[in-house]
Amino acid sequence: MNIIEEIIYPVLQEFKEEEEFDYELSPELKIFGDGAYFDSITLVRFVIAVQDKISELTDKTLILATPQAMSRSNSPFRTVTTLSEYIDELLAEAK
Amino acid sequence: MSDKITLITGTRKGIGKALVEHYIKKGHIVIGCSRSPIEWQLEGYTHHIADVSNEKDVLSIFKQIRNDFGRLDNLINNAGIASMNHSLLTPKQTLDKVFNTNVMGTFLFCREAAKLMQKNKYGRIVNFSTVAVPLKLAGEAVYAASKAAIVTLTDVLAKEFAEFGITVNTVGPSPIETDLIKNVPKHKIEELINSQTLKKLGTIKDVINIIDFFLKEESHSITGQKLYLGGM
Ligand SMILES: NC(=O)c1ccc[n+]([C@@H]2O[C@H](COP(=O)([O-])OP(=O)(O)OC[C@H]3O[C@@H](n4cnc5c(N)ncnc54)[C@H](OP(=O)(O)O)[C@@H]3O)[C@@H](O)[C@H]2O)c1
Repeated sequence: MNIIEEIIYPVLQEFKEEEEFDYELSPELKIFGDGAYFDSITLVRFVIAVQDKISELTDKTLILATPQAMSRSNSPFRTVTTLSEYIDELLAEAK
Repeated sequence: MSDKITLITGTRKGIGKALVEHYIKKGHIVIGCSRSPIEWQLEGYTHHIADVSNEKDVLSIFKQIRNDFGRLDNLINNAGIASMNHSLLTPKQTLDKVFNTNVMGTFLFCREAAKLMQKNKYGRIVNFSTVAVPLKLAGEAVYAASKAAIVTLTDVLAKEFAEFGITVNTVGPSPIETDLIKNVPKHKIEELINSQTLKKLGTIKDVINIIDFFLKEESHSITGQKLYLGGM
């Protein structure tokens, strides 16, 4: 499965339309952290939407915002690429 | 305006069952649950066999709601169990059961409901406490502590959910004649009632009146509130 194209981009596109963000979809897009588009509440809503998308497509219930993930010095929510790698990791573990 | 979608926990009997009847009459689509099957049916009502403290059960109810309606307007966390006993005679199992049902169950339903409600930036959540919390009744340490936890949970969730247009409030009934209190000795209930401002039993109608108020669209500015019956 192409995690970026099938999971992350559709959700980012939805947020872009609904919340009128002016970002362009790209693997380098900064999601959360310094110089990023989302504040913490938008991140919460984004995480929920991504989790929903994953369970819709894979029938797996992943918890993205685990305490470990949130305390990683390199947060998986920095960019589209880091998030896709993180989801890939979790999907592999959930097999 | 389309029909309100209302989820009520603990609907097999008692207050929960009366709430189902009331909101069906008001034209809501109602979904409910209990651990044992129900012996009644109502048009517009869907029942799930679920233990509110079991995350799998909870997730499957919400999956169904998401598929069937794609939204949820109201959640009433009515399911609850009590334990009346001196703390020196209370086994750990009782704590596990009471806290799992009352606190864990309420939390899981609030979390999943808010995920769904935030999409529409609208939601009403009502949680159940009891007058045993402000009255600090001897013999109800575990039950009252679990219901105090629900009050605090409600207060904090009210803040966290505010930006999603979701209100979260607590209703605290005084004693009402249901199975929940049928094993409590008469003199204990009398003692309790005498420490209330209004020295009388509560009724299910009183509880419905408060919940109606919290669920109203016009109550968008009422959140993090606790309304006790009997005059606390
Ligand atoms: N009656 C009172 O005097 C009074 C006073 C203050 C507050 N309250 C609160 O009001 C609420 C309703 O009480 P009630 O008087 O109607 O009690 P009740 O007559 O004992 O009914 C409790 C309901 O909750 C369900 N339930 C219990 N544990 C559950 C679980 N783990 N998962 C799913 N459903 C569960 C029961 O069905 P199953 O057994 O089939 O699961 C039943 O339908 C409770 O939160 C209670 O603490 C009552």
